Amino acid sequence: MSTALSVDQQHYRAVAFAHGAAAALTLLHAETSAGVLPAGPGGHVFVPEHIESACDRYETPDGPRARDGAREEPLGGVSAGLVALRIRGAGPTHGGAWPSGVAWVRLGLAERLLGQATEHLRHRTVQQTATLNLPLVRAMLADAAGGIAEAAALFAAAPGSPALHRIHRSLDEVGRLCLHLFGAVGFLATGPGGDVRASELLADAYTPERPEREGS
Amino acid sequence: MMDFLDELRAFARESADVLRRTTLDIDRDPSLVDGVLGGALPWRHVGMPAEYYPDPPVVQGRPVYLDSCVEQVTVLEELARADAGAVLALPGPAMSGFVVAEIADQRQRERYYGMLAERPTWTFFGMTEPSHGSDPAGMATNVTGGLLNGVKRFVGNGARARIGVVFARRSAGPLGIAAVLVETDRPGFAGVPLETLGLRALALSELRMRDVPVEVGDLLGHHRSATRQGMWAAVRTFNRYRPVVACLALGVAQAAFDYVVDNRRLMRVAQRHVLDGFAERLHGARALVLAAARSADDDPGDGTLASAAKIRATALAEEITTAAVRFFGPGARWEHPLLDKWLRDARAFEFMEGTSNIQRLNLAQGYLNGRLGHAQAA
Repeated sequence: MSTALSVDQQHYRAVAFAHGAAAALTLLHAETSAGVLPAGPGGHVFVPEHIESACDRYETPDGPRARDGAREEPLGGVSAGLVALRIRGAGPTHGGAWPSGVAWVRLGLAERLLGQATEHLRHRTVQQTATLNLPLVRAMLADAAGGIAEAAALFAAAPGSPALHRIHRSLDEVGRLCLHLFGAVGFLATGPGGDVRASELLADAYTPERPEREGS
Repeated sequence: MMDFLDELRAFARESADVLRRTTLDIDRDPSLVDGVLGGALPWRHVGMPAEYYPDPPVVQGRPVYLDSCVEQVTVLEELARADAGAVLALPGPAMSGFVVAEIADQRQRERYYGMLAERPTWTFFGMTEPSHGSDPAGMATNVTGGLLNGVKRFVGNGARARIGVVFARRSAGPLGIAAVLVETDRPGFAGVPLETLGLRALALSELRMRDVPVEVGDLLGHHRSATRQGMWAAVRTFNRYRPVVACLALGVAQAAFDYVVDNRRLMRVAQRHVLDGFAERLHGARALVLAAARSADDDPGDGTLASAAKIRATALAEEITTAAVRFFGPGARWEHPLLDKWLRDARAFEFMEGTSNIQRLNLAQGYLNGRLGHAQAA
């Protein structure tokens, strides 16, 4: 499946950076999937709670269908104001704008997290030195910034499915690095840990399937 | 019509075939570089200004001088897929050319480019020292009383160059570093090749300078303000050249990847997954290198993306070349000499123009200074 990385969607990045996942997904949904629950290739839906309760249809490869409770299964263990469902028969519409929009949202979330981690470490000290100024911390910060730079460069340069996969993997790495920067704070269900988990689940739900490599 | 950079890349890929034929021979005997590479590529020079290069190759009706970072990373990555060492062994301005282009006066430009235009000529960029690396605070090479003294180490093409730039201290402090334009046939100047494990065509060398006579006309940028001379030009050169190093690393990584795909037809599922992951990372690194090159062309004073590109391309080159050997079982480094060469070559990029630790410090500072371009600007 080919998914273009439209630059028209970069405002989702800005909203995610400024206001977080729920706000950005709400905007994305209103502009690309109003009234319809967007589904990933496994039939998973992961959206803000108010969207889940307001939609009366769900996405399938053949177009939207009316919701039928018997086909839906709520999935637990989520956070950041988002809820997850599995809907039998649900799936992405070819060429839909939601998957690339989700990637833009994740880029903004990664930048938001790294900014928060930086502020967190600016105000902590180790032996009277700001933690942010420790060389090993700077190195980890650089690796996270490098992941963001790579994802941003891919958006700018390379439309298509391989780019989308790499963007998600790169942003996954950024999220994990941010958790390392936060230390135990990142292990709490609320706050940055929960935000990283929500971002990872967005990728888990909505990354298009990778075409099989040829050969045995 | 095909995008210009895509067509330029295709042209470079086609041109690179000639390097594949000689890569192992040059690796065994780097002295073959001159005879083998002479006239083999469409480019006689890399980075020569138009006024000194009347007949560059033309792509889509545009002359390609390889004088922008974007053109360089596009073409040199493709050439590096054949032989990164040979790319670095090409005669021409290379790193010292960036310094000359930035701060030389007209007479110095004539002297430098005139010599290069006359016949294929290697140049050098003498910054690193045996005890201090590229740390300007510790630089021991000095210009005192019209004499240049010191030792530079790990200087590419140093032993075969005719002219180049030596960084030397004239006075205390960060503004006290001068960029000195020096011909290698001056008395007291010696270039000695170093035996290396990889990128052997590059002929890394040690430059030994003992009472080498220099005059004011040799000091690049002497007509400019003190803040726009030696280290200013050096930093901008690093910012421009790091995307190039990253593209060379990427070329080596892609070569090893292609070799596995072409020669290892039967693979386990886990191996295919490893390759898929590498393919995606190559894709990402290439986008980042191009973004870094654009940034370097737009503002050579900002090396944030250049550092990001170098970190990631260098790591990828080491990982892919190391993993590629493991696809072929025992004795692969003897049975597949190209893989062995690429593995040895890939390890050079880590230390070229600053190690990954130095790049991380640059990148972190650039990020903290808001130079990465972020969501607020979206």
